[in-house]
Amino acid sequence: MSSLELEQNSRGKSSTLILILLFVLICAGGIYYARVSGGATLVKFKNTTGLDAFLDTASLRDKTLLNIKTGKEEELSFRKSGYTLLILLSAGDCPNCLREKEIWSDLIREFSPQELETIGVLSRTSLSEARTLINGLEIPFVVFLDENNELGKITEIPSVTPFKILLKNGKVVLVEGPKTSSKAQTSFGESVRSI
Amino acid sequence: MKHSAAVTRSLFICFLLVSASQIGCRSSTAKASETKTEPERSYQEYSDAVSNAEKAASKDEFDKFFITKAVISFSGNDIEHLSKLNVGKTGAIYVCDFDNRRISGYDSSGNNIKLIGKAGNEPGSHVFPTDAVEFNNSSVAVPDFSGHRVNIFSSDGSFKSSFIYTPQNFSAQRLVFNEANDSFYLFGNRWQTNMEGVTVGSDLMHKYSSSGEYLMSSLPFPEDYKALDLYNYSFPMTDVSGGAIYVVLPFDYTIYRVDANDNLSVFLKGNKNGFKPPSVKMDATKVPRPEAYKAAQAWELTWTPIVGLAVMGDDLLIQYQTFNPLRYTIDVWSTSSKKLKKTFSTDHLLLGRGQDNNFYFLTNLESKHQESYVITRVRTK
Repeated sequence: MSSLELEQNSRGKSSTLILILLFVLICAGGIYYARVSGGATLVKFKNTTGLDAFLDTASLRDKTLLNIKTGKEEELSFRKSGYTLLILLSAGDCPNCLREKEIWSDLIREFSPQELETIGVLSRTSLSEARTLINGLEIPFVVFLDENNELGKITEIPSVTPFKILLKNGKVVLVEGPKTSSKAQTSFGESVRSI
Repeated sequence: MKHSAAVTRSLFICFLLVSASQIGCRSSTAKASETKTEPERSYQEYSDAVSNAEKAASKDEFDKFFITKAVISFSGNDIEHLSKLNVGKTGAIYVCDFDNRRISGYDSSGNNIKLIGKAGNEPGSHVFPTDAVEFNNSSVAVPDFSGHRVNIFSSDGSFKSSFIYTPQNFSAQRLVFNEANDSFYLFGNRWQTNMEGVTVGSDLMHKYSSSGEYLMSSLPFPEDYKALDLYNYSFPMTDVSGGAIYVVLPFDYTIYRVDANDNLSVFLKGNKNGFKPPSVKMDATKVPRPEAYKAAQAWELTWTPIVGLAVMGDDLLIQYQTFNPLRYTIDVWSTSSKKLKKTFSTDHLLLGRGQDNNFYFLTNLESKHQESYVITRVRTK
């Protein structure tokens, strides 16, 4: 069983995030979900090569990324503890990521920030490309830039992979090939709402 | 020297195979209501046709129409697959090598190779580069089929900038820069599918400013060919002349013209005698990979794929594969009268017109796995 321990809260009190939802959507249509609960410190993924990949929360805690809107570097650890955190990791060159953007945005709008905090991370994308992509869009969360795909490297998620995996309580409950279907999105939406 | 396939066929298969392996990238599921009017052809028939073309080399009329200015040879050690060749104003040659996923630059003599960009999926890197076009005298634009971006390099190969074309939902097969309106035109219609994978849009041409701002899409996929599910075979031949872009699709002898104000028109409809459109559906994605290439080559014997377009002065050249018995037929049209001036047979493959106002041909019958690639720089007599 794998899990993710996150940052202490903004008042300096250490606490473990009870439930972390990490939803990773990366690259050319590959979708990764990982929903994990518990008190451990790692999120476990599987990638297309069949190898396990781990997300060390310490590296995430110390991570700073460029806020595309403000143009300032920010730490990802500013999030308050005790909330569910949703990370949308995508890439500018991923058509499916962009196509699904509205669906995920609609899903996120169903929750208050206290229920579900969301950040977006655009990887392998230059700042000018990123601004082209999000200019004029009403995205209900902060979008960071990870030009060199450092977060992807931390999670060891390959940049191009026809794979989708949903981990629930450490158990793989869904593995599918490359699909961007309404059915798949409905399924994921139901998973989020069931938390 | 063992032959494999010519440029267009190999590009087609590459795209099919790439698309089959790409995430979420599916071929169109449009229902084809085809009526088979052609018997299936075998790869052996294709091999025989190539062999017969070689034997008939003495009938090649190439030298009757063109004056050879130079012969340039590239080593097979540097190029695995000569997929696209473009020439800049000063004669600099840019070669796109699909098999190596690489863009190489050469001087006008074919020497002093330099790499343009590198492999990768970040700005400045290629996943699947499909073209390399010199523009504004000193820059080179490289579209990436899989990376969904255009990288801009200086002529020495160093990275300058990039832009993403992802929101328009296609994969770029060709790039044209029109100096008349300082704009890029990307060609491709892949990814224009809905959430269920059904093709819902089919504009083939997408315009961007020189800084990468998306401006408009145009050139709808021809309705007549949707039933054959030729979305995967929409690899266009293009040229720019007099501030206008000329476009032809492999399966439709219709020359489109797009002027500097983006007015799209049918410039001319071509020869009904020598050219034969496809009537049988081909879906190489259903053929196992080792055989897909051969299956496509055999399928192309059932029609006469257009493989080349070039415009210079009053001459508009259209080349299509006929194996009659030479591999190709070239029609030369007058751009002023829109009348057919000449038709002749050749085994030379038209690679295009360089910005140095020469035509470039591949003398080899095939474009892959050669010990050397012999390029002929010519002008019309």
